[in-house]
Amino acid sequence: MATAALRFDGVTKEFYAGREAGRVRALDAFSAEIGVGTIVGLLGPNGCGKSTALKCALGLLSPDHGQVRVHGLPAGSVKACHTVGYLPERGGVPSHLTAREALQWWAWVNGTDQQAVATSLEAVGLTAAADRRVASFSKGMRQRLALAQAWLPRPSILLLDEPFSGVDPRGVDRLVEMIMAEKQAGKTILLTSHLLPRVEQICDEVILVDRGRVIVAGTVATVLGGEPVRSRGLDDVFRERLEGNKS
Amino acid sequence: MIRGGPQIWAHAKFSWLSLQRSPGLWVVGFVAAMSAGSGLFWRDFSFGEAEGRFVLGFGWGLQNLLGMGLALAAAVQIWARDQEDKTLPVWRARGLSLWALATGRLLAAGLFCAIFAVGSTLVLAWAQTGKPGALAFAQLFASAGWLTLKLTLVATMTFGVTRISRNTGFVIGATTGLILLGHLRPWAGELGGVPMVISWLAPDLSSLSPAMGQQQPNLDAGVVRALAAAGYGVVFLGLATREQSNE
Repeated sequence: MATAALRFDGVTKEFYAGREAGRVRALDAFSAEIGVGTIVGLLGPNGCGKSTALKCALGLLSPDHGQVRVHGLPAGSVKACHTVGYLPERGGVPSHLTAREALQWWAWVNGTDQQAVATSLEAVGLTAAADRRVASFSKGMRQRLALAQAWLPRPSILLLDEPFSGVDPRGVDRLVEMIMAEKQAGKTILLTSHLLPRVEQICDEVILVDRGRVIVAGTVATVLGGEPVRSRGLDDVFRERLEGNKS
Repeated sequence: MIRGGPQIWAHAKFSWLSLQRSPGLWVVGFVAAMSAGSGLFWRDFSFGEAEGRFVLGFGWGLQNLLGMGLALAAAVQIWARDQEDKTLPVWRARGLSLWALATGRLLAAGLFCAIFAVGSTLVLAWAQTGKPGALAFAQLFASAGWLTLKLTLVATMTFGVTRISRNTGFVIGATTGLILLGHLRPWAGELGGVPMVISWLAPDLSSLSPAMGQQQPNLDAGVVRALAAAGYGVVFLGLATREQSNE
């Protein structure tokens, strides 16, 4: 049996949220498997545990119970870290450097060929702005640069936390093209987003999460219940399932 | 992924660029060095010998005081920029070493402190002797070297305090408290008991005051002082590697 690119096994993670709220359970026996070469959308309302799941997969957070494995390796181990690229929800690129310097520095620490910098800048359409400070970039430009930074070391898995957040429609189109190009290159991509029509467009599978638990998971067609995409979209399923989960 | 020394060097260069591109810090540094060296101006007035000594003593004291403020500001600048840009989770996701990060940051802050220490010592020695470049290399090394060590230790204390809180105001306040404590150690030592134990939280900064440009260093005492300072430096650096990341 082929090893999954990412595997969450009964992951539970709690946080202390102050004296009144006490401990809050962000992930509750969360289990999922992400196959090699697939694009999977991790969906759910705000605060449902999507970002926590990504951070557990990156080794930035340690689960209280359960485990996350990356290509069969424990998440956060040095070998596992070298196979992943991460786009955080906000920031992630140094504002005091130019786009070119930021990628050159990142290529340096990751031991990546410096020639990949020019290629990456071109791929994300930032060649003309390469020598401008990141501080002067728009939100969309920063997102594209952060994505270029995430894939510069050529990781086999990309974890993208809200890649379309705050990006205008043209910028989203561009990001979608970039993500699809990475899929063509055989990358495994796990992304979170509230832009459901886009998720429907690019993802092979979706995992719907609420209060830290998986409510439904499967291919987009399965989750949509086999109905034509035009008459019933992921956003409809999303509302129905969440309503059902409340009752 | 590069490791060890090269990774430290990469972080040092990154942090140095952060400082280099903070014009406000350099302007304040220049003004601070000139304030300390204002004796150059006062020398032209017909003061008596006692007043002249007071002005110079005031200058050396000001160099110490402003230097510590600058060291704190430089360390906060490096740390806060990384916090604001949220770069740390991206680095950690790729398995970058927090020891390399902390040491690299320290090298950059240390270089900034050394530039201020050497520059202001040369200006003060000029004010004292009336001749630019009056200090022999050994004297410059003794005077500016001790000040560099002291200021770098202040920067390390700042990085160490970031372990406790991500609030910039708290980091500045707590480090200032440690600086005060470090200067009160001789008195606390005389009092004994609880005040003495509390004072051990900070290194004895009063023993690291510069040698006023002209005194010959006591090498035996110097080695002990330098080792004690280095010991505290390692502890604070160790705390910095457990920095609260902006996850």
